[in-house]
Amino acid sequence: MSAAPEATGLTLVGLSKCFAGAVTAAVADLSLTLPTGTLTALLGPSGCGKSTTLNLVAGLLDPDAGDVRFDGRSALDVPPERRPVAMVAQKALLFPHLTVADNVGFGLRMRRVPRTERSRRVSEMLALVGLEGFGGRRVHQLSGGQEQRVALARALVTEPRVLLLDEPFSALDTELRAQMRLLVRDLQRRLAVTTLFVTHDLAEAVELADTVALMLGGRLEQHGPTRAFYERPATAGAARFFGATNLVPGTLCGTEFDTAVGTVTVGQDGPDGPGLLVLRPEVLRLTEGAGRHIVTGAVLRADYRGTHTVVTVSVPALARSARGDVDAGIVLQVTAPAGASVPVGSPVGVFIPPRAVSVVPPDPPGL
Amino acid sequence: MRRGIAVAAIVAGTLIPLLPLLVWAVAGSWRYPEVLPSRLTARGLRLLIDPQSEVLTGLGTSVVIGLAVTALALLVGVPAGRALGLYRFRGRRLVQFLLLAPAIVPGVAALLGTQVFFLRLGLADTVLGVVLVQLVPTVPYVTLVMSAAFGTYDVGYEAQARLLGAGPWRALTHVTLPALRPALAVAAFFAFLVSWSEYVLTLLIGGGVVKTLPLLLFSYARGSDLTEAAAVALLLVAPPLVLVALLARDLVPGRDARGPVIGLGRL
Repeated sequence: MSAAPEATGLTLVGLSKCFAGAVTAAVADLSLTLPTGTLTALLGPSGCGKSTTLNLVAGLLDPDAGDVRFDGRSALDVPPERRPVAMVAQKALLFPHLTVADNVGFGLRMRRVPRTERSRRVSEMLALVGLEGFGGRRVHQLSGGQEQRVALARALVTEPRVLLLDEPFSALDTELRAQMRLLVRDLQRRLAVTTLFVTHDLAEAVELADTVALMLGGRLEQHGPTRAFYERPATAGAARFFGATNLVPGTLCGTEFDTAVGTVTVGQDGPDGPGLLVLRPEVLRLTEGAGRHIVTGAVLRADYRGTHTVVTVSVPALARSARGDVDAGIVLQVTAPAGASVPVGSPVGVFIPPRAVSVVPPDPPGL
Repeated sequence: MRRGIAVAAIVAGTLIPLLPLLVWAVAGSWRYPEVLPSRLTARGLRLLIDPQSEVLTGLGTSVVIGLAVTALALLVGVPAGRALGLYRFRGRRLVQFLLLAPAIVPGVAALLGTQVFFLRLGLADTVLGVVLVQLVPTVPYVTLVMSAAFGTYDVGYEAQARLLGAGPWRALTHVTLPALRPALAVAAFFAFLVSWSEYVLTLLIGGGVVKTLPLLLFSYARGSDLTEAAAVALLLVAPPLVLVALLARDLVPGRDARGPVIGLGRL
């Protein structure tokens, strides 16, 4: 079942939703295209509109504006039961009055699939999620992880074109969650179902997703391959969410970015003007002495994190600062090896690898 | 073991007071020094199946009214319970209080006004009028039970049902109602019981024209024939006991860990 590369499983066009009594829109002008068969993580802090977006896709909410399209066809007038979607939520929501097999077979029963075919597909699906022979169990006899497996089987058995996952594992403990991620990744690849996975967990998104759509405050901040969020974040918000703790203001001119602590060569060319230099802590390196691409300062603190040590370095502004704000030094966080010896107060150099850093537009005023 | 003793005690406590009734219903004559009646008769039992007597018609009237009241009380009380159990809205407490008020204030208190009102509407002395007035004490119970049930219910079940291909109607009949079955059974049971044993409201609104079993029982109890009165009393007691037996699974929390936690489950 190989889809043409341009095939779009799910398209959101200018989707907006504002709840009655709310000051700001829950989802504002969201446009997003998911190619068929891909897994996209809809990532963002709680309250950013991720779940609302999912409910709009499912048809459980009606958008104020915009369109939801499956394979290019608008679904605005299509009620949830006739949309080609299935959802697994944080709670498994297994029907308490039905057995495991009847829960999994519910969607097929609603579609009037004959009994024999139904039971065959149910057992196949239960085997796929690793619950072979659990069909006769009552729902309350399952553990939390098993419940989510059944929920996943129930969602997938109807062969939806789009699978919606709303933080499905956030109630499980760490080890179980890791297992479930693998299972989802495996099933998603095998069944090639277009998947939108809502999560607030950065690690989960990075581990699972082909592409990440980052939502902040109801808006789509950036959508692209996971790698892009680390190497070329689109906005300061995206950079921060992905752990770029150092954002240094300055002015871009060509490939040179001019800051209060010196000029840095960046991996992009323009657009010229004010911006923020994104310095990921793990890209920076502590050195001794000065030189090209090195800024010098003093160690403010060193925080041991087990696998590494986060060293905070205060870098004073260069005296030649033309803007007169001599005091406007910066503070950089640098990831150092766990065993690094960095006494507080000692002078240290920070190597900024050229071209491995990027520039984002400055935060809009008012933030 | 202790559970078994408790159950036996409850069953005995419920049934033993009924034994004299049972004996009276077949007693031809039962005078003071006798431990058991000296003479047995089938007169009381014959009365129950005699098509000429009012007892069978009374039974029919009671059943019809009971079922109608139960159905209507569920029709009103289930949506009300859903709103109270699921949603937080302005004035929720007031609505809750007003809905439960009839269960707190005796229905008789408002009865005179109701009677005038029903007379004007032509509902007095009719079965329909009796059904309507019996909603006053039954709707609060249904609402109370259902709001507790909906309090632990998740509308996510319905969303899931919809996304799995069920329209709104099938989501209701295949998911919502079955998931709430224990609570619905308890609510229906309460509504039927209240209606079944209702006397004062039936007497005043029915005006003695609508003769339910409790009304008949009172007239027999005032008469001199205790055998007949006991037989009618047995007829009045039997259906609720049968219902309890049928619904036992829903009335007490049992093997099903997620079974009912409402109704009598905590008593």
